[in-house]
Amino acid sequence: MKILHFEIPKKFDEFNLIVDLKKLLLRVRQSEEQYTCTFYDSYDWRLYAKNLTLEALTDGSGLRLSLRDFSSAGEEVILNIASMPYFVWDFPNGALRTKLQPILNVRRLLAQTELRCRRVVLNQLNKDEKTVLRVEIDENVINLPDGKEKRLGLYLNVIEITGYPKPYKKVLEFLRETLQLKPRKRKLLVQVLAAHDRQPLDYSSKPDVQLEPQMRCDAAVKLILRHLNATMLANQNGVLGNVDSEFLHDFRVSIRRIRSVLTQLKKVFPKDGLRPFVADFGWLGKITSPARDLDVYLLSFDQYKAALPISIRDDLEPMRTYLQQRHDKVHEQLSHDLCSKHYQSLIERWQYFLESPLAEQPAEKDATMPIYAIANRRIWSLYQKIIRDGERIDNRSPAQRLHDLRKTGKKLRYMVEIFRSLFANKQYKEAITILKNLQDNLGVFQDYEMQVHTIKAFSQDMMAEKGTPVKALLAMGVLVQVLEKYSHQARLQFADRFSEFESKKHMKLCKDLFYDQ
Amino acid sequence: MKILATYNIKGGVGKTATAVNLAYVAARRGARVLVWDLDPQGASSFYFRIKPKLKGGSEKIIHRRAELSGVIKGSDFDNLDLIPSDISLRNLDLVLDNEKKPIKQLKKVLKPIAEDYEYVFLDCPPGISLLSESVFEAANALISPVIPTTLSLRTLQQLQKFIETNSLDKLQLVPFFSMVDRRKKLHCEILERRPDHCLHILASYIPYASEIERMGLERAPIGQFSRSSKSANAYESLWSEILETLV
Repeated sequence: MKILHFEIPKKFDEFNLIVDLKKLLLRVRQSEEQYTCTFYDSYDWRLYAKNLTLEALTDGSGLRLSLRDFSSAGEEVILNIASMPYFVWDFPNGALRTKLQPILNVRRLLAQTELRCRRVVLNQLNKDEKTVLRVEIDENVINLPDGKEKRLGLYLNVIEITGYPKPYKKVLEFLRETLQLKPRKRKLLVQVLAAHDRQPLDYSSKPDVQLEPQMRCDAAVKLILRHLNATMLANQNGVLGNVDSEFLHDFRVSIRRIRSVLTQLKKVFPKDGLRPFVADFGWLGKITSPARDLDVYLLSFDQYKAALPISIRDDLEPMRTYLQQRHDKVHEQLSHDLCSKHYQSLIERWQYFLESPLAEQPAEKDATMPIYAIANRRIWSLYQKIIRDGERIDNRSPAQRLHDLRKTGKKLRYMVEIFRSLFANKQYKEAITILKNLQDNLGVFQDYEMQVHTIKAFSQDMMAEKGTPVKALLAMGVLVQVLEKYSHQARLQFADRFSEFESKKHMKLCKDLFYDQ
Repeated sequence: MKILATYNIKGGVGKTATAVNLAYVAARRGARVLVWDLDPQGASSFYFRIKPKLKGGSEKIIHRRAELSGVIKGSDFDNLDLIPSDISLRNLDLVLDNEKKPIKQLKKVLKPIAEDYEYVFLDCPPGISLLSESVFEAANALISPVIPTTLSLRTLQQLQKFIETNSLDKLQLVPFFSMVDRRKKLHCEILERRPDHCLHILASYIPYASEIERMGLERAPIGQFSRSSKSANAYESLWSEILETLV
């Protein structure tokens, strides 16, 4: 179904516009609708980033969900439903769920903004009273934060009915040539958000800090830390409300990035000033770990089941119940910790540090150095450490060596991402891809190792509890064997991934990018 | 894409009402649905208010000189399209017979639109013909409305036997009771007692109701003009049960 949208200039009167259209369309059924339209997207605008908007229209009786794709002639997927599904798995099986699944994944749909619409519908009918074209004239109104209403003006939507191209073309010709109207490029969502002084994509978890190479190091680091702090705080309410698991994930990644900056660039600020913050963010990382671990286990649960023989998959369900109960308790504790005086004090002290002015003549030698020199030095040093440590790993090396390599890889990745604006685009992308491939392998290996250990601990716990069926414990035993196999497979792949990382080609690329002569 | 054919050897059992109403329910639940009116009577085209006319006739589609996507018409309902009937369908058996591997042609014709629709309902004419065999080859399931009478059940058994004899292993037969008149003792007996050979018939059934007959006056699916009626609810339940049954 093709749809084109037109913004109607103020010089046009709605009544006369309808009269003109009815004269053109001849046989018309006119009706009026009033509804509220809510625009939904994930917190990080995943749909908008893919040129999609999701509208939920309601007139009080049920919901009409409309997913519009602006990259393909306004193609639309529609679902009529009783109440709003917030996660992909709440959607009924069908085209909308299929389209949303790979984009949203585990993210919850949030109401980003809304408007009220009064819509006049003109259905052009043929002699069988079949609709062969649909024209909608919308008057949109939004509520501003101060309680006032704002009218967004008139909009016209022309919807082609499949198999009836002529009426569609005729109306478009009239709109373009007689009324001199052009199809609207800006999405309605953008206009509604602009009226609230907002714009789409106003949150991203990526550390997008623009740095000048010659910028003073202490100024650059504070800029980075303020950005990371803003990202962390932006996710705080989502963590407290347990809205979806990605809020906690992004919260923790911000914490790790902050810690990484504080430890990797420690010669920029007085040591005594930084030390408490290193400990504080270490504490934050620790208190958020149990909740994140349980999020991951619950998110992976269907994959765990799928990895088992069909005959015993359902036997694993008691483990899901156990995980869910623990998950609820752990999230409650986390909310308690994030509302504590300790946390409030951390945030206040941290904000004070971030806002305090830079010393005019700092004692720390790196403070006034240009940021590109310090960034390059740290990054190159981390690359070399990975090469040294990775070369010492063979098939007989203990697992801890790979875990340590992964930690170093994370520090490197955070540094490379944070200082991204200092590096040439194409080469940067190539370098980060190879690093990511290595990290993915190390991550898979460590994650499976840890899961084996933890699931064994879960089964001990569940065994101590009354009422756990024996077959559930047996299924968990089989799961542990499967995960051990996956872990072993990842271990075997390490050599190839590391060989790509330490290749002459990659090392030359990294040297060109990061080695400051 | 799942291809569901509303089929019965007998006529007047509710095949078209089934195709139209189930397609409507499926579309409202968010599925992209196509109804192909294969009956030259053009009843489902009539219900959807779409002219029973194919440019070049059905022959052009079978010979693949016309793209299937070029003959599809949007209905008045979200997510629901129709390939209208055409008088040339009365000769479709002859057209198919002139092709190599005639019973495989319908399946081939539908292949290019497999990504565009989740469900295709084939509204079939009554009888057993080359077209029917093409439908059996193309379809994932036969949704078969059966009036709860002795003769209708006998016909169902004949259909079952035909499927088994012709090794149509991938074809699922999904019968359900249609036009059930609870004022008739025989209907009630068959419905309630369900003789052994009826055990595979779905539990959901469609009542004999005046509002279903009103579809001809309203020229719309029953869910459009009588959403909260027993018949509309019956089609909702039927579709839910069919979804659970489909392999």
